[in-house]
Amino acid sequence: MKIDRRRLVGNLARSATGIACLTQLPALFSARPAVAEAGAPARRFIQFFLSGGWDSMLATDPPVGVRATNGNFQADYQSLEVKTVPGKANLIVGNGLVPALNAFSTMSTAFVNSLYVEVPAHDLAGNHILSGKLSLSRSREYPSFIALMGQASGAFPPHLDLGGSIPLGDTRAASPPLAAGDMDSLISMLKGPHYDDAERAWRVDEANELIATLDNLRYADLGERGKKRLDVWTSSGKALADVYAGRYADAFDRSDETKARYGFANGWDVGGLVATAFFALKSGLTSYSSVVIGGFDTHMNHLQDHVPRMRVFAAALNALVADLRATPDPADGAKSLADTTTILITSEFTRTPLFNSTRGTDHWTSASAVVMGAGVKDNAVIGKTANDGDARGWVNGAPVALTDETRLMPDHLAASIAAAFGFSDVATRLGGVTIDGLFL
Amino acid sequence: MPRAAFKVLIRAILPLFLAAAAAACVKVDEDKAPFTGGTAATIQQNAGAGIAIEETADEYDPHRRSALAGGGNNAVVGAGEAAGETGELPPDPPALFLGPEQMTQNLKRAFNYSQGWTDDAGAFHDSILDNYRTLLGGVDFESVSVRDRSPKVNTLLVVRNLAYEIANGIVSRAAYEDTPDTSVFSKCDVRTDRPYDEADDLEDESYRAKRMAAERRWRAQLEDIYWRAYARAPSRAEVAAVRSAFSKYGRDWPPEGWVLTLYAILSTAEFWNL
Repeated sequence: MKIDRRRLVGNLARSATGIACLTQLPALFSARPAVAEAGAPARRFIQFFLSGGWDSMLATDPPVGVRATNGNFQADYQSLEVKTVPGKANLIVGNGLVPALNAFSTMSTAFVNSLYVEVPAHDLAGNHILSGKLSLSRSREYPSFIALMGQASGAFPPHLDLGGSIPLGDTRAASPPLAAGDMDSLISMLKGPHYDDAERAWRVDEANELIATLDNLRYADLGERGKKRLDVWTSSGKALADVYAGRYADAFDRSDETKARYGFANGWDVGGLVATAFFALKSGLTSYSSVVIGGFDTHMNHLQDHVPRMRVFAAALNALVADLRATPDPADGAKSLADTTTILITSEFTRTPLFNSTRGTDHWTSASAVVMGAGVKDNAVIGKTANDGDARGWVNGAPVALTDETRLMPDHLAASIAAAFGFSDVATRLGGVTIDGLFL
Repeated sequence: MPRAAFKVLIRAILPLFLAAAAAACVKVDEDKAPFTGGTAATIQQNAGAGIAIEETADEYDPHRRSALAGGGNNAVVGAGEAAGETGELPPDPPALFLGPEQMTQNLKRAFNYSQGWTDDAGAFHDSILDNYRTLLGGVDFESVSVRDRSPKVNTLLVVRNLAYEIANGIVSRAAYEDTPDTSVFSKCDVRTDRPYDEADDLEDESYRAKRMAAERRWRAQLEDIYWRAYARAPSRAEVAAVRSAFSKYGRDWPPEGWVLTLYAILSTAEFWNL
């Protein structure tokens, strides 16, 4: 976050007088079209949310240097391998993400540490990270910023949710996503209902024909006014036929070779979800995918449970980046999907630097993220935690004391991504403060 | 002024005066006032009047914004869109897409069908709601708090898959269970009854008589399903359309034809909209 004196004084004045909320008003009243904001580049976005609270010390913020032995961090971390990303001296990777070194070295990568977490409770912190807005009561939920970006893109589906739900707030604003718990469910949905194992099988197109016939017969009884009342349904139905005809499901590869590369046995495990996100992009089904991967809330046996799960994810990330690099962008054959895809990996918070009595770790008041791919400033590390793991402030590219004005917030990360994608309305809705030095 | 003329004047003016006074005293019961939606115009008005503003979804309303942009697969503009700009109720408001809670109730009542499980305390956990609630435009008060009653393309994708699951479930329990559940298929034998067709004409008289009887039961069943789903009988044209598809895909094994028929009936606009 870049703050100069003028902005600092302005922020202080606004927060003191309660005027800060007024900065949201232009967004509230905006009637600008959401579809394809002028100049918005054709880009893709995959968001991985490692649910439960991943351990930043195994990821983007390993205890090295003074912190390795200062007693504030569990001694067990000292025995774990820590690596610097080849060719990127600033990116020091904890043991959990070491299998993804190749991905980090071949794609522009930045780390964000020391995101301030106001309340380290799963739902509240998770919603804050995913939506970029903090709701301290459960009476009000904000939509995830990926949902707003997908909606603003005007594409169908606005976004794809894999593995688990993300906050949508008001679905009139964020639109219900296309959602699936695993690859098989998604394929089944995209293929459409059909009998394909019977001798006289009927296929989705034939079923559609009967549905259309019944609808049309009914519409004829309703007359013009009745038909008009069903405009929304009718036009969506026509677009649905296009989806079935698009044969998106054919792009999903469940071969043994793919399973081996992504390291999955089933479409619902970690590698399966990562692979599903790739094929959803490759098929052209969607440009915005959110993948929720659980299992990181290790209050017991932290290292035994947390490390392997993170490493499985990191290995799948390697396969994803390799596939993105090997797949031409359908809109521009000179580019690969890696050139037009941005990846965010994050979690609701990190974990306590010291183990609890069951050798597990609990919730900690900071969070971290990896941002990779298109538009990302390579080899950048934003934010720095203190030597005891606490969040610190970040101003003009350097750590400072943590205050309400200097803290690096999930809001800033979300607004930065929305702004980098050209969705200025969404960025404004998220507060409009972006992180300097994260994107080119 | 002559007294008579004054009386005439008073009689003419007084009712007008009383009517105006009554109108001024009427307090609008906002709960009963017709909902016109929070248009940009009314929000601006409220802001100008210093009224607390609740953030609304209108600024991100996909229909209005898509309409303004004039494109996208989600550019499904209902009859009320133009009126939404003026704050007046449209003459033909868009049909209301049933919420998932209403749909599960309908399925239970009309087809004795539900998906879910009962916990130790006896509470039923509805899988349709658990799995599809927000995808079907519903609310769960955790991730979604405002209902979306405009079916999008992905809503219809879910509708179709759900309709197929339901159709398959209803037919399977009647056709494949050791103890068939005939609560829906009470008018025909789901495994054997099908429409009479031209090939039946080539058979002997007793076979034809059997098939004709089966045809009558098939029609009675179709009509019964129409009443359950739509609260009306099917038209001749609808029967013909279903018969044609059924004869093609359900002749050898009628349950397959019934899955297709039920799937189609449960996928129509009429079933999902008010």
